[in-house]
Amino acid sequence: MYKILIIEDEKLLSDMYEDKFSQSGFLTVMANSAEQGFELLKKEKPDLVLLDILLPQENGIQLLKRIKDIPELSKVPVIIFSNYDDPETKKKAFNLGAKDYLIKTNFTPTEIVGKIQNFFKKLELDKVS
Amino acid sequence: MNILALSGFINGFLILFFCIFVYFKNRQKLENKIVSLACFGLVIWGFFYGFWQITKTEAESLIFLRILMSGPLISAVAFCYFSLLTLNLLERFKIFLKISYLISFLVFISIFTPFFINKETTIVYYFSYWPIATIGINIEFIWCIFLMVFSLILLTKKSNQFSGYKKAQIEYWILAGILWLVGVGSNVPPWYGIYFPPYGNFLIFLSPLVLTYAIIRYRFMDIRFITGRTFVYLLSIISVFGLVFFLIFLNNKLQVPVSINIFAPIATAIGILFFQPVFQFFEKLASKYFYYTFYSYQTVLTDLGKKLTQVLDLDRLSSLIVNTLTNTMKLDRTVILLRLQGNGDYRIQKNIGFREENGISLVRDNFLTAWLEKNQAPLVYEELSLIIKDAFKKEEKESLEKIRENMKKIEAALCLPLFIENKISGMIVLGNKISGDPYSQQDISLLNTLANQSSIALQNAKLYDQVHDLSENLQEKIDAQTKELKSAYEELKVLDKAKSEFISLASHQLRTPLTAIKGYISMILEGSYGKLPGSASKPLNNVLGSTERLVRIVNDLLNISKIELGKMELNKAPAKVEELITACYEEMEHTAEIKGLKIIWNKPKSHLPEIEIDKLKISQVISNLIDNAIKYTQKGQVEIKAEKTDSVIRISIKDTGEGLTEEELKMVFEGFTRGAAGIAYWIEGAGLGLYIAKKYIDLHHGKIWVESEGKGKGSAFYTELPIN
Repeated sequence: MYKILIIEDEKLLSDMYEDKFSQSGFLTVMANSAEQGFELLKKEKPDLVLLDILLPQENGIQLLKRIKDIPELSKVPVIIFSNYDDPETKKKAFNLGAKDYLIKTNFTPTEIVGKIQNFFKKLELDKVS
Repeated sequence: MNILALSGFINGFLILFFCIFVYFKNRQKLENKIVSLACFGLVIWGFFYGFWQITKTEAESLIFLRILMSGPLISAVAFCYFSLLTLNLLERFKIFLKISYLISFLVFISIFTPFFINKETTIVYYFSYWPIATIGINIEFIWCIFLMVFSLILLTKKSNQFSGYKKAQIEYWILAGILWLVGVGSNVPPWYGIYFPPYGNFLIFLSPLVLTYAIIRYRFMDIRFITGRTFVYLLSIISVFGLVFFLIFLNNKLQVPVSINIFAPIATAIGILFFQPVFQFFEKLASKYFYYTFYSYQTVLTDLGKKLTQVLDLDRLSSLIVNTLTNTMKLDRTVILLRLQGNGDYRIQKNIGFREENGISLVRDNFLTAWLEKNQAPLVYEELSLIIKDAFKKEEKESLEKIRENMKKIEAALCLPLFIENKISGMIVLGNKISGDPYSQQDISLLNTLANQSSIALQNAKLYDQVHDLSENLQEKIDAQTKELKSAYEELKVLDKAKSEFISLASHQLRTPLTAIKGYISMILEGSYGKLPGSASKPLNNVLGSTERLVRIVNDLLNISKIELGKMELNKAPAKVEELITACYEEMEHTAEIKGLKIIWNKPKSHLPEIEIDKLKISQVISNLIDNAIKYTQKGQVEIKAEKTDSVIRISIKDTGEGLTEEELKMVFEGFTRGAAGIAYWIEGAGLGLYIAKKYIDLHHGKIWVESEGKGKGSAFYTELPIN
């Protein structure tokens, strides 16, 4: 069972994604700020982080920067999961090691879960080979 | 010494004086040379006339007589030459002159031959030795009288062609000639036995007096300057001599044991050393007390000329001109008037001495300007009476009369027009010299040259001023506009910020609730929250569809602001267009089938080359075009084609649908640029897809266009992408 850390400040959305991911057989850890996300990342050691960009105080990019400098934490794959759609931010995120940049509104929760499942499948396959 | 001998010496001395003055006044000038030569002849005649009579021996007396007889010959030839020169007839009488020189030369030779006079002298009246006239002297008399009479007739006849000062000068020259003729001529009768004393001799020195009058009154030949200089030299020499003799006197008186042979040269040396300072002292004195300036014309001219080219500031330049003129020529008043562009009025540029309203009163009406422009020469107050006399028209006479009165009233003596290309650009009005002297011919020609230089310099300064003003104005304008631009830029910055905020708003504030709606509905439909009653599924699907559409609209808006902010970047990579079309086709096939439409994908016969494109964006364009075609076609087909030409890959999507009106054809690719009346309003649901498609194709340096025969006749969209 994969453990996913979802860093999302919108209660409405975090509830929805928590429901969906739990129903789909993931362990979910929810954080509503970058600071909390960072603490949980250290504590819970998730298999994947779904990171929003526009967060109160510290934003997603800043958190990525912090994670990048800690080898232990930077191993955890991060997928940006945001509605903030700006080419420069996208570029920065990829440069800081983000695995993907998904626009929330373009996908239904089921589609997201599908994408995450595919991601782990690919990861498994990479490990095997 | 008898009275006739005295007349000779008087003539000799007086004319010699005059001759030297005229000659040294201007050695370069032909007129001066000729007049002094004419006088020189009379000098010879005068002096040897005296010697002829006071000698005691017959031989000596006859030699003096021969010499004196050469005088009138020289004088007459020079008189004739000058007359032709002053009448501008030298060219016409070229041959005549050459013959005259030859005859005169032969006559001159004959004077010193036995054919000239008979040695046997008789006593005529006072004269002790008067020889008998022979063929030679007869010829000389005839020749000289001919030359004089010929010249006088010519002068009289032609003088009417001249006017003003020139005419007056000629008249005085005629008078001098007549005096000459009568004076010298009175010596002729005694040769032929008519014993009447030649008192006419006394008339001869009147001849230079007449010329002197002409010089002073009519600037015949300017000698006033040289007179003043001679006076200063004379005083200096006398003082220095006085000093030398005083030193020698002291030496003798004090019994200094230095021999006169040694002391005299020392005293002379001291005297020579003192000459220069003494000379300068007298020059200054004369300048101060007699208002007599010894300015060298050339120096003033070159100095001012040089300075004129160095000054570009109009005020400084006019001050320089006015001050230099006033100070060097010792004038009581000077004013520069400059003509304004446009109405041709004058304004006072720089004034010394004139009362404000007086300075400009001369040019109140246009007469003077027009008159000066016509004559292209300065107007001298002294000449005005003669000019008025010569004026033909009554109005001209009256106007000139008015100007004369005005000049007299405001005490102006000279108007120097400033010409630029023969048009008056201004004038310098000069007052009188403080000394009371009139302006000499040389003054006027100097002033005229200066005026010419000044007019160019003033014009340059005026233009410089204008350019300067213009540049200042321009600077002001630029500053103002820069300020405007700056504030516009600030506004734009605010707008830009607003735009960025909009992106943030749209992406977060709009997308977040949309994500929730879309997410929950899809989950409800999927049964995440329990089984749905069958009747709920259709409306919920409609809500989901509408939400999807709303998501797309938000995405389009975001894309557009990205494009307009220049933030849209292409992620180019080699791609096969065929594959992209196939993918889109497969995605859309189902939708078309549901609608009952035939969708045809005509793959090219040979493979299309790979091209560098942003796959995602081109796919979006193709999808959009196919989607539109399906959406606006109710029955029939949609045909997709791709082909390669020389340099492009062309994709076409043809449908049998609604087609487009001409109006719509024009606006179909417009976004917000046409305001709210964009195509989105006309074609419901078209969204901003075509506008974005055009932007994407533009970024690829490709082309996109639409063809339609009209409403109901279907349409064809084309896209061309360059093969790199």
